[in-house]
Amino acid sequence: MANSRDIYKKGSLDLLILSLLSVRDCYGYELTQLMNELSEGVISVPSGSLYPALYKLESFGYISEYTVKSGKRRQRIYYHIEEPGRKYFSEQLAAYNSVIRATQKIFSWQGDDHDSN
Amino acid sequence: MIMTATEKYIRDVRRLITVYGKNEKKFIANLRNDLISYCDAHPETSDYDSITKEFGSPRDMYVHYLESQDDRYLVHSTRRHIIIRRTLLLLCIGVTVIVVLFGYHYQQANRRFRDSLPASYSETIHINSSSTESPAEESDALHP
Repeated sequence: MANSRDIYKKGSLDLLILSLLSVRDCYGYELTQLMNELSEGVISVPSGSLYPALYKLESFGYISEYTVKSGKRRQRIYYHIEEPGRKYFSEQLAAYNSVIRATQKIFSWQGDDHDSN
Repeated sequence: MIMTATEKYIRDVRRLITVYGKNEKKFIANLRNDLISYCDAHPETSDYDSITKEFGSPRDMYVHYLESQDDRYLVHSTRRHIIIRRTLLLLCIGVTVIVVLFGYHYQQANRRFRDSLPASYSETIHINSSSTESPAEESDALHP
């Protein structure tokens, strides 16, 4: 059975990537490290999950990539958020926050007078 | 040493990938970059076990990769894999049939050729006595 944290992570991975890229351009490994550090180890995204999400966002034109040569043999592929990506991110963030608020309301429900009658 | 562990991990992940398309090629290249970045950042712990601890086992890596794929992409790549397998199978069958037919016809032609040859033949050489003159006599005849 999938880890419960994985279920929440799966739906929000695109948002997490776009959120980090909206701050600055990052390469793949940097994204996984940042997510791990910022979430204090709660969210760890393996490369196997990260790259398909990046390819998908790239295919939609939300992000783009560019290569930076680093050292003799190494090439780092940096990801950059594009304008449609920023727009999509703000829309999705608003939707995500509204879902969180709605979920919190459901969780905090203690029952009402209707039941007691 | 660093390259060996990295390349071994990459090789183990690649072995699990059944359909090696454009995205998979890109994924392997990105994964290789990540592993190199990790090994550069942690030169003291860049053996295979440390890589597995950091990135998960190759099997886990591939499972994560598959799980994160779009359903349509998975169906499409599986279908393509089946088509490639069937095409290769048909190609093998076709080549086998052609080779068998060619061999059969070659054998038939060879047999026809051998049958067309006479079983034995005799050759008689007639030596004309007038042509046995000595070269000196021939020379006298030409220059009297």
